[in-house]
Amino acid sequence: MKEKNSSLFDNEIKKEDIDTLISAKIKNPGMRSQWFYYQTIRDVMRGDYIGSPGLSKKIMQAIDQEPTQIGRYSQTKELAIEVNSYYWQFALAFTVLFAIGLAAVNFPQGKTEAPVQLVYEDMPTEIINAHYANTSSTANYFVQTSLLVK
Amino acid sequence: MHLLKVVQKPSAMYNIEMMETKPVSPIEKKVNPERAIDQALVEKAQQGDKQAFGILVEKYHKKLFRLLSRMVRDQSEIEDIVQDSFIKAYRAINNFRGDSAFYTWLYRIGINTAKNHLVSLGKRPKAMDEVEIEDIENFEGGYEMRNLDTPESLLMNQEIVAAVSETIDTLPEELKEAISLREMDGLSYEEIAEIMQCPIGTVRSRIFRAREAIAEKLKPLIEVSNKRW
Repeated sequence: MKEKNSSLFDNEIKKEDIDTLISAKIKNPGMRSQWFYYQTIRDVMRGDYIGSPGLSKKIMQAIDQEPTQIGRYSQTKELAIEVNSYYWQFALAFTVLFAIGLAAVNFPQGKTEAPVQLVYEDMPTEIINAHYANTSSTANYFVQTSLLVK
Repeated sequence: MHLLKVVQKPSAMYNIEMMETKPVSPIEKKVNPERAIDQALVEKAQQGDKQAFGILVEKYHKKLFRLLSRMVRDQSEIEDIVQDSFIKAYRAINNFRGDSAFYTWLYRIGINTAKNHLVSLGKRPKAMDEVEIEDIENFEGGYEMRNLDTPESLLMNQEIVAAVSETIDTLPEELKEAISLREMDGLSYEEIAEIMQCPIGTVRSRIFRAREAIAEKLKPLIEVSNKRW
């Protein structure tokens, strides 16, 4: 792993190994300090060495005082979860409405003719005949009635 | 097909280079491994991992320090500006979308922080905007920093430089050659493997062993240096 850390310092690492190595590096303080020495060696060999000991520690102490930034990527995940739950809510609501609609369509309606037919069948024939004899079946009846009302 | 490109050097001298341009196919266009590594670290920092940001600090604080030494002379002022720049970068890390390299973004923050610092002191900032961003990315020089060392730190630095040089001299020839080709000539592992006529894995191992040997000699010195500061 230390050798791979050295390769990572040189950016000479396979793309698929990047995540694993970075995760290992974050967990292992020894791997983190390795880079400090590697950087010092590089700077000295290139004639660029500057003595700023403790600067990175100072910076990280200041960063530790800062509130943790939780941003875009975790927000994206949260959004995905939110969108997912929204989708399921919508699907559930649609299913319930569909079920209610289906039930309403198939529910027996009050306007069926069966009860009327039953009453009709139970009535004696003479009463029915008397009813039809005394009931107007034309529009003249209604016209005459309206004249009487006046 | 030829194209004229004007590149402004850090010394403010204009240099006209003849650049041969050829169309780059998507297959030829390689992903920059450094950028991929930085992007992975940034994504972890965006998920709330401060240690990932710490690796970026470790990686770039000296480079930023050297860059800013072109604008500001005082070492303690530069350290403050570097610190402020990293804090600003951390606060804005969620705005970083990876359109540019992380260090380009960081250096822009650094330069703006330095400019604001100089303006607050009533000084006129140097015109860093005129420097090509390409120069900033490749900037390695710590030329002007040598004048900033105090006698004590100068002595310590000399000890560190001497320790590195002496240890390199004691290394086996193949390790010495591998680390020199990498650090001094800036060659890739592939190029070193071609020169040394060995597999890339061997180059990887040689560079690692050389570094570990030098680091062992440096550890006591660096620890003393850290205690003094």
